Amino acid sequence: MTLEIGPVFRAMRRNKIGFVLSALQIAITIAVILNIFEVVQNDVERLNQSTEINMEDTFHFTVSLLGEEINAQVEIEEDLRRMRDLPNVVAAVQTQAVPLTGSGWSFNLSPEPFTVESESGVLGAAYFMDEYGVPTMDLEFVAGRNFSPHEVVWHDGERADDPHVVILSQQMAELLFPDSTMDEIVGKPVYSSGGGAHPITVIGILNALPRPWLNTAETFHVSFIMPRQNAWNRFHYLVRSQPGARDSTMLQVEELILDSGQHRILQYLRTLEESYSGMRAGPFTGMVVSIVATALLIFVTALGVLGLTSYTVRRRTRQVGMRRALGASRFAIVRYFLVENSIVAVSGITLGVALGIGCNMLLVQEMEFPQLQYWNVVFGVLIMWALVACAALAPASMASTMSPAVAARAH
Amino acid sequence: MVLAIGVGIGLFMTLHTVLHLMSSNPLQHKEDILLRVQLDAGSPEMDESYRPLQMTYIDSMNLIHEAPAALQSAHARFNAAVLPDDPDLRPFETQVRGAFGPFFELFDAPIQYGGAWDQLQDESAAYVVVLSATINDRLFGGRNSVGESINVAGQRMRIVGVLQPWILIPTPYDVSTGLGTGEDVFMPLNTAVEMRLSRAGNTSCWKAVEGDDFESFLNSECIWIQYFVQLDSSEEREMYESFLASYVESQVELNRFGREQKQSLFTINEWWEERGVVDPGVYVLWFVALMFLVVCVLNTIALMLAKLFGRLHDIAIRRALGATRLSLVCQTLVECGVVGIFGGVLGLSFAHLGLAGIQTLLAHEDQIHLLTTMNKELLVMGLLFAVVSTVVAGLYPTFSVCRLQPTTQINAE
Repeated sequence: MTLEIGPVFRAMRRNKIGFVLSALQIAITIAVILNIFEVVQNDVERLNQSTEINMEDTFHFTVSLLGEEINAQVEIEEDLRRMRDLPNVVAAVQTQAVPLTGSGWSFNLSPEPFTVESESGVLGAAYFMDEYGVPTMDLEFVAGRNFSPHEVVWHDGERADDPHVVILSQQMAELLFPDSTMDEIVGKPVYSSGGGAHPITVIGILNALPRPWLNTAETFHVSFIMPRQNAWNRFHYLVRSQPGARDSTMLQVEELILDSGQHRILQYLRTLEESYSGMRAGPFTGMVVSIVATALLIFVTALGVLGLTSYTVRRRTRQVGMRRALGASRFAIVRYFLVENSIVAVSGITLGVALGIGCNMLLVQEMEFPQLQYWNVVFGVLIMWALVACAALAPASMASTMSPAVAARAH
Repeated sequence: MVLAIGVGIGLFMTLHTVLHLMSSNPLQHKEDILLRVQLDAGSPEMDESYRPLQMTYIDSMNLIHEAPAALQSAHARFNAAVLPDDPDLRPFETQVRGAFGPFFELFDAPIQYGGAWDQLQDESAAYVVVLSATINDRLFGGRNSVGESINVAGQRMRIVGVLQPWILIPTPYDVSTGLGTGEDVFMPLNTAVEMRLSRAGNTSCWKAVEGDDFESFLNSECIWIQYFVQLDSSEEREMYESFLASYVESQVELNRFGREQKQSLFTINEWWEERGVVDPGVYVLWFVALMFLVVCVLNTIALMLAKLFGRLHDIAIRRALGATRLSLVCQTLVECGVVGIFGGVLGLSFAHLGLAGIQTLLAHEDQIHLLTTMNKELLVMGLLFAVVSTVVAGLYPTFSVCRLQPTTQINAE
């Protein structure tokens, strides 16, 4: 059983334009598939990250205090006391940044003092919360402890250097002190680029602490909490309710806050779930469009292969008939067309892989594009070949079922 | 064939529309004269690739007072509460842009009533505002409210102007937090600073703030302000550039700037390219859609070949009867054009669907419809693309068929 590549090839040459077109389509398709697959894989990883924080029961909102001569600290402390007293509120905290909302603060912490104003240390998302911060977010300590109330510092200025202790996420701790265990890191000093030359002691390390922004998987939890509260006129509250009571608690809290007698504006009242899915919508849409575009591309190319094979089958009806009359098996006929199809596929795929790798190198250089991995190339090639073969299978097997007499008579 | 072109154009125009709307400069006509000033502040130890994206308060104020240009503005975005006079309306928060009077002329802001404030009001941090059409509709029913007053962040402010509806995406005067959304209240930057309004943009400090109060913040190296200037002629530009060069030198002597000043004046397009306003992923998707169109065109070539070869007998007879090659070529290409038009119409309907889909997925974004609605230019472009692609697809098949001798064909069949 030979593969009859020679005769197939010679027959193809007489109608090469069709095969060239098909090979080009296959090339473009696989070049695109290889690159888009990397992007989609990246996106899926980014979108599937676990936030570790309680999203179902937690909500947040922004408050603006209006009027002359307000003492923000008094107002906030009163708000927090009243909210924390509500039976359905598990914990509540005032903060200047809320996880998963797209806006927040960040600065660098470093194990060494910042001697010159340079970008060293580890960049982390910064949360200014009191001792209720960790319970509100429902996170766990892998080492160390939470803040004590006396460690919390109130601040109405612009600087960020007063606290003397800090809680890190373990991801941030690992980056700051790569050679120590979590227990060893507790008690070590860090220095902040936000201001102040004094050391800040790490007193606790959390299992996770998602940032306000949807970054890469490696940096998503690189964050820290400082026991500081801003006494500003505009701030956010983060509140966790009893499971199942979230919506009613949201209404209760809204009423409570607006009822305080003081002119206030309450805005952006959202659950963490809502905020998070809002943040994911962009990358998610991009991913959907990529997949749809690639699927369409594969579909049209497959149709092209189907069309091409049908066309070749029709033109070869006489040869097929004669071969069958001479005793060729149905399998041999199918094999003939599949060989033809494979020649097209192999040329297309080879060209496509070259194009794909070339484009990938360009993209990796020009922008933050994920690099092609070998396994994905092999995978892509195999899938493409299988698809192309399947597309050709239908017309090929139809050709093989033609009765020799009918075929020989046709022109 | 119509379907092949239709689907190709559909996907392509969906992505082309989004990319085009995301990256087109609404002030293209002022491209050479409207310039953004950028100072490479920072210490010499900082990374080469770091580019300060905004300006400090000190530098902005120095430039406003000393730089040789008639039309320039420093501006930034803030949050502020508005307390409506009507007791039935609750207080609400709005976005405020603190700017200098020339801002409105710089960016072609369309004025409905009144006008911008003047230089004296800028200098004295007067309590004056210009309102957007939206907030004017909300509080004053859309009437001419110039001369009346409005309570912003607890301060009574006099309305000196009202704008026509004005939302630009991307926002040429500020892309520091993304494509930008409009502001409802405009006031002198000095006023916003004096009122200690809460900042709503990006603030980034390479050096820690020295003291604890607001004054220290204003004197710090934190960057949070955008600065634009209009320079109508190249002489004006040269003069301004040499002023900037000597300003930078003077600041280097004061030890405030330690880095090499690279380009200091950017046009809007240059700035957007430098800063990368559009997510590169969008360009990638656009390219994929283009490749899809190419594949559809390749398919169309194949389909057209098959179709024309089916007509060989026909064509041969006509050639034998005296039809010229040219007339056959023309007829076929015109036919392609017609297929292109139908394909284009079908494609634009698909694109409409595609854009609606994207709009649904991103429904929570405020101004998303601005990025997913095709305007006239895009519709025409879509049709044009369709016709051109189909005609191009038809070129090879037409010429290869018309090349054949009539006699061969009549006999072959």
